Amino acid sequence: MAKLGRMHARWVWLGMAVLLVWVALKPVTLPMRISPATQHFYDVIAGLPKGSIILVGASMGPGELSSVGPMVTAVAHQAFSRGLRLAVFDPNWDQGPTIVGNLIAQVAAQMGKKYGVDWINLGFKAGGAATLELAERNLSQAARGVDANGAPLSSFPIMKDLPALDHAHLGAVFALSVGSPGAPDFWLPYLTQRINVPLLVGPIDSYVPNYEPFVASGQFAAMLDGSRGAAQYESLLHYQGGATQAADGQTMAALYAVLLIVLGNLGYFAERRLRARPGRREARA
Amino acid sequence: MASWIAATKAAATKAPAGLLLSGSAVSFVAIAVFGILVWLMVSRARSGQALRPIRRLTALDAIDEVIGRSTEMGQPVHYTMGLQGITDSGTIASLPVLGYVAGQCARYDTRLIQTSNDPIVYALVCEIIQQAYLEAGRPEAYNPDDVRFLTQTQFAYTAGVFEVLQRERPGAQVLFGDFFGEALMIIEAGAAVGAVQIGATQDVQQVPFFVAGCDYYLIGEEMYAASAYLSHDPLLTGTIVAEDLYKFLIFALIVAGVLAVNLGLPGFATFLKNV
Amino acid sequence: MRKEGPLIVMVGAALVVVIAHYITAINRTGFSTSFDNWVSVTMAVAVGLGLVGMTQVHMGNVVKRRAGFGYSILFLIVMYGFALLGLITGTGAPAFNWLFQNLDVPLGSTVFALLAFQTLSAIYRTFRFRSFEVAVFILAGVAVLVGSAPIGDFLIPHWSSLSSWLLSVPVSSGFRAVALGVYLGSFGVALRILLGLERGHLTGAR
Repeated sequence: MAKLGRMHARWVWLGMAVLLVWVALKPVTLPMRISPATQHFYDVIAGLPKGSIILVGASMGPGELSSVGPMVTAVAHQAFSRGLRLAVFDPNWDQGPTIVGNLIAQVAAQMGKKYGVDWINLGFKAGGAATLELAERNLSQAARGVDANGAPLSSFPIMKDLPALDHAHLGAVFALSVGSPGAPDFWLPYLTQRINVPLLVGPIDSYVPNYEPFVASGQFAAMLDGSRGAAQYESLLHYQGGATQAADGQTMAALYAVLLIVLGNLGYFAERRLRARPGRREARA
Repeated sequence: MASWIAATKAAATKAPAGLLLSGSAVSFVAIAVFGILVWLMVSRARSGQALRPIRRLTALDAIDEVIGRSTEMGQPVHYTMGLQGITDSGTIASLPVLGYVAGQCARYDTRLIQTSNDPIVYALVCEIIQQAYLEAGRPEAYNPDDVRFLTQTQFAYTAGVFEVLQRERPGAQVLFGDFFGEALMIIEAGAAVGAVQIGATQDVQQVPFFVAGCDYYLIGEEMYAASAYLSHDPLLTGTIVAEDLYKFLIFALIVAGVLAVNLGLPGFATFLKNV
Repeated sequence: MRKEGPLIVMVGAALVVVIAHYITAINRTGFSTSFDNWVSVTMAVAVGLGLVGMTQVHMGNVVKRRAGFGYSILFLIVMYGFALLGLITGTGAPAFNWLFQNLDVPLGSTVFALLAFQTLSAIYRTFRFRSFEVAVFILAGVAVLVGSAPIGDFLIPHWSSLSSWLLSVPVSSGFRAVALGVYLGSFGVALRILLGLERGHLTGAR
């Protein structure tokens, strides 16, 4: 019994791998309850006037694609279906705009939306807060006059309606947040708080509790609760995306974790009992 | 929602261009008050007035112990300061600790392996470790190959640290800086090779992982006190005292807000909320 | 002067950036943007420095035929190959983008996915009922873990509400307290640097 508490990590990982492969081959897809937070996120986007532009803050790296990628796809679905437009930009995360741009391009192709008219990828433009502050006055200058592929911004109709990241031209900001700089330490203080525009946040799971105070205080207009929120959001939009598929894996991992806690503690208490026997203690010493 | 947007748009267009940038007045006042407190406490320390000492921080006291353990086992010490660049407060707080660890490793004749994620930090780390070996009187023991810039990409860096831990099998690992999703992976990889681990991060989300996974840990702001704690410099201690006083001030404002709401003083409560 | 020079540059630059962040008139001059361009240039030079360091280490591995030197050869080929491709074709080119999407993104996602495995082994290794505090930690963890997955509501109706409550009330209260200390601590570090009290980041010699 004591051995149950001393299993090598590789057996723990193997068990997880088997379970994940199993749910990937045989999906269960349990029903989901939509939380008020997810419903509110949906409502904020639904409440934006037609033609509004949402800035997508692509603060992410390749590693977080599976966590926040489905959120981007879902937001693009809702935005395009309501006649809203999207602009991707980030002055901190060099790989984020390329990844987010590719995700939005897929949705745009499915929904017949045109690049440069319905959405644009301004790419990564180095400079952090200073670039963002410049973008608040002159977006074209902050983006060095070109989009992510080096094409001149003057050739895109959408840019006529977005000369600056300010209150008059932006409907909302949807910021991904997977680390620092992220929503609370970058997009909030350097943009949305200064220009009074609602900030929608898409964080990875572990950031959800830390961001709750920002939602409670109203500094974040709405937030998706990590992958759980993303799966609920997909459910609200009536399609099964990456987050819905991942929900089965999450269920398995949660149950497996509980099993591991039970096994570990059975082993722990068995070992304590063994150690409590006088003969054993001497033998081990 | 639409009405909220309209109301805030109207407020923004009406706001006049003042001396301070719109939306920054509160943080300006907050920084100014804090600056005054720091100045007062540092002045007190300069004039020789006694300040309260910093309480015991077990994780920092354990540094010598874990280096000693590595020395006895003939294994190296691995030091990582996470992912951020030199502008990050966690990285800045980590550098004096690295200097201390490097100095102790030089004295104990224990190999120190340091891995960096940022090229500027890497350049600085080379300088700091070399300086520490020089001050310990063992400049010849400094090995530039043990100070490594791995990559700027988060998970590629993590994979690089795995490789270092598996190949070098350190007896101790110090994680001191700003960590994100890679924190638990590095801690687990350290545990798998049997390293005793000291962790400190200001990233609140990672604190539970440090508490669960490391043998010794500092929580949040404790790491900022490290340089004052290790150097016993009264001027640095003065700034820590100022932080505590400022915390009392914020606590008083929170209590005042709670009382104002519950005693039916909406004016004061609204003022605090707007602040 | 070895320490004072960098200190003067740093304090001067910090003051300009801080003032430009708050004072409207100075902010609108765009002065801080020039500073930022300098930072970008410095970063580019520093990346070059990292490149030199990496080349030295891995070339050393190859020349001295250290264990696993084949990986060092592979590393050097990929590093210089990717850099040259980016320089020649530009980062927006289809070939560069293809490599990025099909090499960088899946490799990054793969290592990130390891987090799930490492979390489970950490849970198994550390979640032991050693004391009352740890018991509370474990029970709260299980409540949030299961409540965050769809299975939570399936097993017990409104389990997810309990999980949300735990996250938004007790957990976020604790986080606020720690975060408050962290923000003040960061302020403290920034001020110590501005006042020239903290110099460890210049030489680590404090």
